[in-house]
Amino acid sequence: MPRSRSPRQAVLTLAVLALAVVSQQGIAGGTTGTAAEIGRPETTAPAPQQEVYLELRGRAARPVTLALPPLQALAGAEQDAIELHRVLRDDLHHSMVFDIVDSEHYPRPTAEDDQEWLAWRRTGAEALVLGRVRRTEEDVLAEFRLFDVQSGKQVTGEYYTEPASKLRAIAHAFSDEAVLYYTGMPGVASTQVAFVSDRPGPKEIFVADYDGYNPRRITYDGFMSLSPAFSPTAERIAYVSYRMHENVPNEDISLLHRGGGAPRPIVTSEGMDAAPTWSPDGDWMALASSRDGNSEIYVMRPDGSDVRRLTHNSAIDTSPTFSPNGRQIAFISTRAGSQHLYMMDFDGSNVRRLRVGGSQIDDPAWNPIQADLIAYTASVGGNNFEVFVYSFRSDVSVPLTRGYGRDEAPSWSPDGRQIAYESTQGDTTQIYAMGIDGTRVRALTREANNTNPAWGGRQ
Amino acid sequence: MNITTRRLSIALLLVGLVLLLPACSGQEPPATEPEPAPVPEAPAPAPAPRETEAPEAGEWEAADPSPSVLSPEELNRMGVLRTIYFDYDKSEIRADQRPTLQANAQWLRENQGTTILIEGNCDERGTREYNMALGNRRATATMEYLVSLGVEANRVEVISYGEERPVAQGENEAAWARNRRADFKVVASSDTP
Repeated sequence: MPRSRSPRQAVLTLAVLALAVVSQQGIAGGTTGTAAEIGRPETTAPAPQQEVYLELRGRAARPVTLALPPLQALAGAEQDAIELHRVLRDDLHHSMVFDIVDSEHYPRPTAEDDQEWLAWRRTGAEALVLGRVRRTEEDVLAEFRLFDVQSGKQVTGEYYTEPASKLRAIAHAFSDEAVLYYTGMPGVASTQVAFVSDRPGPKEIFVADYDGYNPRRITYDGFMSLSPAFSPTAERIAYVSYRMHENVPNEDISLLHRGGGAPRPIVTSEGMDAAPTWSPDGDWMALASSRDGNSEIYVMRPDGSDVRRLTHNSAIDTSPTFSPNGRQIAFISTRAGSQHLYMMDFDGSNVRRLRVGGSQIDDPAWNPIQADLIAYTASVGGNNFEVFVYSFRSDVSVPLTRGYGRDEAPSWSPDGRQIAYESTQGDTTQIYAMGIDGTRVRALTREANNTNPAWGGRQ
Repeated sequence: MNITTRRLSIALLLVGLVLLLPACSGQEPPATEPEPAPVPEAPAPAPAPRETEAPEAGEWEAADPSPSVLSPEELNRMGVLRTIYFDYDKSEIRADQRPTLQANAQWLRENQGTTILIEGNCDERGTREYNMALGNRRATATMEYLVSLGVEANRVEVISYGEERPVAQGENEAAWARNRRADFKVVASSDTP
């Protein structure tokens, strides 16, 4: 449903109320869940923090109500139709662009005549997706059409033929197509997430589809690999590799190219090299390095050349992240005693502290599209860490996760509408993803321990 | 090095050489020629399989360049250098850990041919990236303390494992305290510095 609140009013409400939200932190319980669901029952005002999340939700996109009736299955394709429908429904829901109309309200399928459009309009749906699935020996053939319910006109449609093993990819592709139609930018259902997993024993880098399916191991360093970072076009992954130098391990930064080849070490300096991240144009990388004796922020070319030191102090500086235009870098420093969030210009000048909610701030991740949003990790008391988002525009921070465990390491989807993160509950750590407002949480991994998600570009 | 470890090293060496014999008794001469020159190979074509042949004296000496030096693996297994521990979110050397470091420094001064790796580790609290930097600080602070006790800086390397390699599991102070540590690994050993 379209929100009737004016933007100015919403921002003002956001600013006033979110401060209260941050100050209430550290009390909320329960497991990782949808933030908007968890109102504090003793709050007298009608769930004010929900306004904050609504504002964030509105930032993702004006939600489009969409109806997705079961797909029509031609002989032999019944199971494929059910599976495709399920994956497409999840994709559209998680895109943060669509609110799917409850199927209870769907009219019984009839011919596509005026009567039926009237019935679809009554469901409140603005968009309707109809699909048909056919099956050959090896292939799945699927046809999807997206209708504007008001006009009764088809606005986009696609026909796919894929091997049965790529059934999910068909749904991902059409979901991205639907998002493209309504937002002008393709969705992220065909993107990938890199992460660290200890399922082989030593920690190695894996890549999976954005929903966690099809995980595959991509490093075989055998000792420990950490902190993967996709280049903006997802052609390369930089990561921290513990490589042996004459029997002595050292933290290096290595680069993997899509399409194979051994990882190439690009930084092999003595001491720590950590937290690699790419500039939005892919021309630069930032990292934390102790090559001069203490963890400082540096930038360099992705081949390891043209290294420039940006910070100079005896405190810890780490976790750099580029602004969407590449001109600023946000990072973490203990220069004021404990961990705080700072930003500086690309050349290291103009350093200033950002006063955001929570303590022990780390893992800043600048939204790649919405330049005034930075996600980060902060403690809300003891070892209870949550993923927050901070808005420059309204100078407000709000937690997106809830629970007793450690939720950390946020990574934005390329369209800036979703966040992957890791959550430690008890003695296991897994990767989750959620919407920009903390809703629509789902697990991407379940096996062994999985950490350090990095959301990348298209497959 | 005391008598016990010397005996141990010789015993291990003997075991190793017996295992190596089949490889050494072939056509290839030993890589380093000892003095005096080795006995020439027996010309008679012995019917018995080579594995059962008695070793020749020259081969024993050839494969025994430095019997008194223990390998880094052996030294680490013996625990010649002991772990030190840190306070939460701190990299300063604790007063109660200084005797351990002094003992480690003494061993390093007495074993000039060794080089070591100091591994900085953190407990699981806090974020991974920060703990990587904190582990680096712990390892570096430990190295600086050893250097202040007369250990040559060029014999010491540092690495941080952050919170990625805990030795104790569990969400309690006892486990965390054991994970906030600097481990010492001998990475090279020889007779001469």
